[in-house]
This record gives sequence, structure tokens and C-alpha cells, in this order.
Amino acid sequence: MAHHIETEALTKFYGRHRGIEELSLSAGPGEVFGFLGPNGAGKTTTIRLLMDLIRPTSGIIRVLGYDLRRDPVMARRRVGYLPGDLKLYQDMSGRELLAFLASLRPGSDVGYAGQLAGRLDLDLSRHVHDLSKGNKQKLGVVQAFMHRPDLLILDEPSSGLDPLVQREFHALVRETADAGGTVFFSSHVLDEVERVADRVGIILEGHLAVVDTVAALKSRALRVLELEFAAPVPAGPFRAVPGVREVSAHQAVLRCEVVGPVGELMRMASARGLVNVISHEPDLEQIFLSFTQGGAVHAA
Amino acid sequence: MLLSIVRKTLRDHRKSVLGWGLGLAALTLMQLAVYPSVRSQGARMRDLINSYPSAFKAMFGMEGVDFTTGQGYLSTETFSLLAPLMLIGLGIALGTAAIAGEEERGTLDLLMASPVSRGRVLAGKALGALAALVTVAAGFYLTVLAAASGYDMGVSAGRLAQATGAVLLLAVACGAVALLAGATTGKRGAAIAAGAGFAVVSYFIDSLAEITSAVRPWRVVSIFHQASATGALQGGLGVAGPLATAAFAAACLLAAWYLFARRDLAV
Repeated sequence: MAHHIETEALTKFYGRHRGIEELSLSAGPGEVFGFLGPNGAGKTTTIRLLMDLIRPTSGIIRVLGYDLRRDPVMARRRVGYLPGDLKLYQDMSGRELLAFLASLRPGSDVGYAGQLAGRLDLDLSRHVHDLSKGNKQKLGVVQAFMHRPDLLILDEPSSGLDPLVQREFHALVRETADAGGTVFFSSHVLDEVERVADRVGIILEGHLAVVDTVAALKSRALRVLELEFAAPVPAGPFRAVPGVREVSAHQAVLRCEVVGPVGELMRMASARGLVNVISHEPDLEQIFLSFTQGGAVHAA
Repeated sequence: MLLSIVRKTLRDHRKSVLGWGLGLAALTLMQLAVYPSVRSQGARMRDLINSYPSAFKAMFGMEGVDFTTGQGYLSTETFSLLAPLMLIGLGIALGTAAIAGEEERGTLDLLMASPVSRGRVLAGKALGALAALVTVAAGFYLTVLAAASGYDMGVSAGRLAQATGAVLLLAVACGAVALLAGATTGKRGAAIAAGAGFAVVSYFIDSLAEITSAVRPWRVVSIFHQASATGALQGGLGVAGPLATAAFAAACLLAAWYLFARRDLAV
């Protein structure tokens, strides 16, 4: 099977209000796909379309090889889902809730669910209405993973989880991908996406702005290099180097903002007595900002 | 999978089934406990009733009914007001909860993420609601049967069963209307309004038909005419009316199934 998720020109309007427009993306086996964007950009709309909870205005969705319009039930058999605004049945214990959901999903393993709860430090004997927000979210994670789905669709999965539990959750995500599954998750927490995702899609105002690997996005991002020389150097010649955006000199230290390869810059610097280099790694925040501010949205 | 949704629905409603069931049984017993004194003061009660305006009597089904007989008492008190009111109320509550209740609470997303079709979820919830309604109706029947024989009301178990069946049909029809509105809009308010509105309009068409000849031709559209509990007590339930009422409820569920499968679910 080529892809676990595939959308073609997926468009959703709510009346005249835009949800998403012409969104085409795919995610395949073994992949963790991070779906990134500010609130209201269309992340939840996309995810609810993938779950067949809402129907597209136009475009095609294939989930695990099934056309969602024709075989939504078959498509959902091997999917685990965590809603963004998770609401659970209040008057059940965690165990009862999982047993009910398991009765609707072939391949569910209540024993495995118990193991997952143990890993996340969740007490399944407690009633849902007695659980804190974080513990409810853990229960949501357990039900999404308990039938060992081939595809996980998770809307803001780590919201409400404390850092220790988040780490365990990320491990779960990684294990799923390593076993050949696909994890599609949305987030507005940039370093989470950076830590867990193989590929990232950035959605802005309903349009998919960019899809790429984290590494490639980083190489396209603005980086800051601090070059330390034996003696003060003029900034002028460095400004002419391809990829260099901004140069400022403070005595023997040159601060350069660079996009792309830095080879040319390094050659010139070493010829002028380079002593030390401090490179500030770009994070997705910068990448994200470069897309939000750069007007790249409608060009995509 | 269908069964587990039916079971879950019954579990969700176990408290309302118990509450409505016990409440209806208690009210019925209280109402019927008064019957012996009504009977013993037969002549004075008859005079009192006769003094009411005839339009009033017609509207509330008292015209030509002898209040002091067991059958008359059951038909004007228990089966024309208390039982229909309670069971229809429960029917509307169950029909509303089926889709709209779950959608407004936000749990429908999780349920519909399971590999179960929308139609199957709707069917499971409708069956569960029906089972809950039948349970309460059965409890009511046993209560009325025990009281009627205890107070020697002279109404056969068969007639009581038919009258209870008529009330159950009314509740199923109103519940189906509420379920249809809820499955179409996802709004509890709309479901309750549709179910209650339908019940009230049906009731008034049937009542006004008693006193106004202009309304009489419209009487056939009222479920209170088609599935008449008082009629069932007096002369049996019949076949055509109950079938028409059941067919109407089935049509509502079919429409709900069609429309629910095709719309966006609310967040």
C-alpha cells in the first residue's frame, strides 16, 4: 500500500466560511506526520474530514486505501482517533469505557489497553468524572492506541499531558511508526513536532503552505552564525556572499544571518583568520514565522 | 456491534427507566386508590360531572363516560392523561438523547470514530430507547393490572394491555419525531420542541374534533385518534390505527437514518 492517508484537492466550506481549500497531502507507512498551524488554520477541519465526521465540499480522501466516500466503515477499522476536544462518557470507569469502545472495534486488546494505561500511569478503575483533564487525555490516548491501529489520527494529542507523560506518549508514537504504522498528528507546539515528526505540513488560513522533512525545512530556514576572528574585520565583503542576509560587526565578532549552505561564507571567513564559530540552530518557530510573515501562503 | 450500542443505550438510561417507571407506578397507584371512594359516592360524582359544560366534557373525554365505573375511571383519569403524559415525556427524552444529546455533549465524535456506520449507531440507539420505553410501559401495565383487580374495577387484563399498547405507541411516535429532529439538527432544543410540539398538536386536533365539526375531518392525522387508549379500553385497540401509528414512527426513523448519514457532525 502506497499511502495510509491521501487527500487530493480537499476542500471544505462551512456555508460561505472557509474551512480548508485545495489541500493535497499524503502520509505513508512508518511515517510520523506533524500537522502544524495556528488556531483556526484548518487543522481540526482536516482531521475531522479524515475521520468522516464531516464531509468535503470537494476533493478526494483515501484512508488506508479506502475511498472515504464509499467505504468509511472499512477505512475506520484500522484507525485510532483522538479528538481535539475530547469528551468521554462521564458515568463510566476508564475500564468500562475502554471495554465499550473495544466492543465496537475489532482487534481491540483490553490487556494491551491495561499495559498502555500502566505506561501512562493512569488508573482505569476511576470514574471519568473524577479524572483530571490530564488523566482524561491519557484515557483518550489509550483508546486511540488500544487496537494497535495502522493509522493514528491525533488532534493536539499532548495537550494537557505533563512533560513526563508527553515523553512516554512520544515513545508510543515512535514505536507505532517503527512497526510500520502511520501517525498523523496536529499541534501548535513547535518543538513537539520537531522532536517527533519525520515530515511536517504547515497549514495557514486553510491552505497547505509547505510540506517537507524537518531537516529540509531547517536548511531552508534563517540561521544565525557568530564568527569570531583574531582581529576586527570589516562587514562589507561578507554582505556580498550568497545566502547571507544581515551582517553586523562587534569588534572581532561578526554576526551573520544565513539561509542555505554556509560553505562560501566559511571559506571567506577562514581566509580572514576565523577563530571560532557559534551556530544557533533554527527551530521550527523561525520556520513557522518565516511562512506566516513571508506571504508564502497563497503562493503554495 | 449493534447489540453493544443497544446495551450501552440501556445502560445510559437505566436511571431514567427506574425513575420514570417508579414515578409512573406511584402516581397510578395514588390515582387508583381514590377510585373506591369515587364509586361509593357515585351519584354525587355524576351530578358534579354533569354540571360541567359539555364542550369541556367533550374535550377531556368525559362525555358519555360513566366516571364511577372502573372502565370509565381508568379511561378518563389514567389512560387519557397520566400515562400518556408520562410515557410521551419519556419517549421524547429518549428520542432527544439518542443523537442530539450525545452530539451536544461531544461524545458522538468518539463513538463515530469506531468502525460502525451512522445507520447502525442510529439503529442501536433507537432499539435501546424502544427497549427502555417498553420496560417502563410493562411496569405500568403490571401496576394498573394489580390495582384494577385489587379494587375490582371490572376491566379485563386484555383490554388493559391493549390500552397500554396504545399509550406505548403514542410515546414511540413522539419519541421518533424527537429522534428525527435531533438526528437532523444535532440540537437537543430542536428535538424536544419537535417531539413536544407534535404531541400537543396531535392532542388538540383529536380533542377539538370532539367539539368542532370543522376539525373532525382532520382527526385521522392525530395519533391520539389512531392509537386511542380510551377507545382501546372501551372497544379494543383495532388494527388499522395502531398500524398507521407504527408506520408513521418507522417513517420518522427511516428519514432520520437517511439524513443523519449525510450530514456533518457538530464539534
